[in-house]
Amino acid sequence: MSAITASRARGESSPAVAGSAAADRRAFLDGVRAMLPLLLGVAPFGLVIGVTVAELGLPHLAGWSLGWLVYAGSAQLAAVGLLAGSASAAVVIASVAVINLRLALYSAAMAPHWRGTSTAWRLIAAYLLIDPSFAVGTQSYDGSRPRRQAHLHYLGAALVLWVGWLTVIGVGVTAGATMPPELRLESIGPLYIVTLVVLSARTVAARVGVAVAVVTAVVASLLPLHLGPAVGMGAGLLAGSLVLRRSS
Amino acid sequence: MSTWTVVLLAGLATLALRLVPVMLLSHRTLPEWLDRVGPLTAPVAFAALGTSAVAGAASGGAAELLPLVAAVAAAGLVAARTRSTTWAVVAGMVTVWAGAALVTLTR
Repeated sequence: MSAITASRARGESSPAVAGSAAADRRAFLDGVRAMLPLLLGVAPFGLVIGVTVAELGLPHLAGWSLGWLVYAGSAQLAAVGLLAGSASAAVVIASVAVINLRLALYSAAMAPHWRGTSTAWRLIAAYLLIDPSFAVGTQSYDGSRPRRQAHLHYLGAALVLWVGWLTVIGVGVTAGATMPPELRLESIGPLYIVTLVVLSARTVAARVGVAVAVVTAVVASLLPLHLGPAVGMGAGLLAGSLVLRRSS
Repeated sequence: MSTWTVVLLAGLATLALRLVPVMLLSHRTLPEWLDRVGPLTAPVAFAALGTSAVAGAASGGAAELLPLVAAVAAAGLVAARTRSTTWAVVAGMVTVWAGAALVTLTR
């Protein structure tokens, strides 16, 4: 016991808040608590993804496993739709990578906080990085906690999100498989996506990108291999960044 | 390629995006273009995906396509008005059901 306390005390940067087990536990639980409202916010999205897996007739276990393998809701929803439309592997993987580009930005932003930690910690912490855990993570490392407790705060938040996310997707898959087709629950996916577009396209560049992506995707839906989304994304991003360059 | 292989590869690609900057960067020095384009990716990617999903329904004929297009328009309008995801999806689903009922009636 005393050895544990001693090793904790050594890893502790601030002697004012001695690295006691109680303080560690409090930091972890504070992280959990900070995540709960965000988890509540994304839970319906997880349900939608689960229902979509079942409605589109994807193998349930593979569809659910996108949850822990990709662990990024919008990319999961895209992958489910593309897989169900028998898009080629390259199209699915490229779409997922484009949608998840932002994770590289989050990762870069967290890198200084995790410098000098073990490889195992960085692997786990980076794997758990996604919009809500990044949001809480910026609070975890706002300087109000000793480094060790900031890590535990982030870990508490990120773990409860992970468990909650995989649970709601599982519930969605189960529910979707038992719902009658007349309910047309497969429409929820596209409706959710449209809402996200409206809510997230706030700048002129984003709106131009969205408009170009829509028009291109309609035309490109005639292309083989389910290339429509990828071509639409490419054209939209290009148009949006041209607007940004001109205005800067 | 099997579904499982694609799922696994998509997971690995995502893990690389999360992991590589943490492992390699000690300062925030991403390529400038990524920093610039980053905030655009979410709305643009969703727009392309949503459009393709709706266009995919065209293969089911007008009876499939029209209710979905109407529902997407309704959801977009409600989202712009209320900024609420829940109300937008509810409005969209009600429109889908109404549209489908209308199609059945007029057949």
